[in-house]
Amino acid sequence: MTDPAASLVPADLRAALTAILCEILVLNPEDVQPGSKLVDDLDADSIAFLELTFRIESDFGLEVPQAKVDEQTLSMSLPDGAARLKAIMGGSTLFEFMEAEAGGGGLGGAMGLLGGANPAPLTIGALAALAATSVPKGYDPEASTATLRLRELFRFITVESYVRYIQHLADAQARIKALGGAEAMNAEAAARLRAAKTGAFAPGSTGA
Amino acid sequence: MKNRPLRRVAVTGLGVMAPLGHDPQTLFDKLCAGESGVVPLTHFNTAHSASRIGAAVQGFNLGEHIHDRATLRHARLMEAPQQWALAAARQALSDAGLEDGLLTQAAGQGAAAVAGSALGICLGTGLAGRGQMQDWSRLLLRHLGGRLREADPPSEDTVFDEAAAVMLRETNPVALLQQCPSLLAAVLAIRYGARGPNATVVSLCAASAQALGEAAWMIARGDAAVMLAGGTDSMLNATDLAAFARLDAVSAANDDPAGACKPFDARRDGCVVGEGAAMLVLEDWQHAQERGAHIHAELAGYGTSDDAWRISAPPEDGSGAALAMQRALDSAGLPPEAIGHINAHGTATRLNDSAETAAIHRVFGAHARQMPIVSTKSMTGHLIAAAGALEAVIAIQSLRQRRVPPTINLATPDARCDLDYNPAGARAMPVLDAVLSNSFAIGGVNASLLFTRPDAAFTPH
Repeated sequence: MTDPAASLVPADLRAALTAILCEILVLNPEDVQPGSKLVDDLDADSIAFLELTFRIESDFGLEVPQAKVDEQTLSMSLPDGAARLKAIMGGSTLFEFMEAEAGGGGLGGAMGLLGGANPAPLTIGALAALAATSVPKGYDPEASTATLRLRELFRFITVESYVRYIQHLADAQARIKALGGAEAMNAEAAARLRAAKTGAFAPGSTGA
Repeated sequence: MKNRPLRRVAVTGLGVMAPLGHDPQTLFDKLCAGESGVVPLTHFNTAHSASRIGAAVQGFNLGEHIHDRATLRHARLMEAPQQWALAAARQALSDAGLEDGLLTQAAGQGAAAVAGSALGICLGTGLAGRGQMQDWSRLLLRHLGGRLREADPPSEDTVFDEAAAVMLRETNPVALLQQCPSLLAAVLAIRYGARGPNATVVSLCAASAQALGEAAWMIARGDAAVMLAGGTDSMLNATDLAAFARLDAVSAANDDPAGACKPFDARRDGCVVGEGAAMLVLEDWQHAQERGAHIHAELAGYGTSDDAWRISAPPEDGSGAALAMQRALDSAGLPPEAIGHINAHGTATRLNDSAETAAIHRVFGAHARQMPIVSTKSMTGHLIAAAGALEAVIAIQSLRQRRVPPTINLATPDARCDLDYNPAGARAMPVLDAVLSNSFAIGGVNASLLFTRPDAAFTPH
């Protein structure tokens, strides 16, 4: 029987994600650089993000919680949308991850500034720099980030930030799993999924 | 001269990805040589199938035909038949001198000879997502196959619920798109920037003949200047072949692949299943002339009807088929005597061939015996939803080259199939200005297409 605590998350997450991106987006591995913007550089559209999320859940046994965000929230301004997401999703989405990274700089730092009680004025150019990427096409680097809507943050997501986010999810979900107790059900579900994936059926793992 | 369309419709491009040929000329030459494309099937397990032979598309490699990333991404959602159609569409549009301009125009880098708003797509396709259905079966077996064999097995309802949970968890976000018969027409529209009419016909064996006929009307009524029309299909997989064989429509002559399909022969015992894609470029006559396009033929007439009789059998007198052929003549404004050759539906099922013969007698009277009636299915097998488009291409090649392929494997006459089916070999036809191509489907749907040479003396306009 498979160990329910065993992780499906590969050691080299960047390589695994690059392989998935290459498959879904029909790219060569050299096209996928750490600073490549998923939308602008790799042409990921909404269907591609859905497939990407599905594959991460399916291949790595992770839950990716930002899959279902309503239109109203996505249309909110960046600070308001981020605050609302935090209230309804509880700190697990890609957007919030970026905010959580505030301490280490990066895009999360920008989010922290924007979403804090005292929003500092930040230009789109500065936001891109914090995200270690260039300003996406069609944006004025001097314009304020307050003019962005939450959904536009997708344009700033790079391969690097995405890899870090998935690693963050993997760590968080491993911690929850390790807590056991109420999470036993999740662990069992994961074990069944894993057993199914390896082709081995483990009768003992399928309780009622 | 009734039911004349408002505008004339030219055929300016042809493309095929078929058994016997990956282009129209190779295919036609092999047909004229009487070569069979029917082979023992080896690409899936046929051990438990009543039919183990078919006319398969061989040696297809998508990468030889499609190079741009956007289309390759869409091709990921497709099974082989849709991918063949991408290649056949490319051939047809290249033949019409339109492909490069359309790709440039769709990329926003120039103008094509036809505006995107005046370009439409109309296809006949079969069931989509068949491979996916088999993947799902395998997935459920792998997840749940052991449940019912446990010492204290759960109820079937419980396992069914678990299956639903597996499906929910394992269903890819693109699964619905993969199952959708209209995906191909949408992908072609995106690739070529075709913002005109976009339709997919799914009437089984008549689907792509109807797609061509309806596409011609879309041009005739002014909704498009150019239509990419045709079809693609494959039932050469374990699920479909078994299901089709259950209908008692498929030959059991597994030991003699090339000789299995025997249209109009007294020994006929069913069709042989084929697969492939065929695409045509139809174009407003004036539009084609103004841009100096080469016109292969005119799609001069189209008739369609339904038997309203039995779900999988025609009436013996072929009255429904006769109605479709008569309507094709009417819409072309031509008398029966103008037709020099018929590419018959000719499936080699017991019922079709005699009913089709009766229908031809009914429409053509004494003239029925004055022309070769050919079933090229004897060599290509039955391409189901793609049959009408493939046979339209073959009929147009016959017209262009004034040469008619044979019906092979016809050795034992049947008293009820008493026409000239051209069994002896390809025949040169010094005078051949108009041909008819028939496609009749399960469900009683009939479609007849009438093509004429662009230089035909009788062009009724």
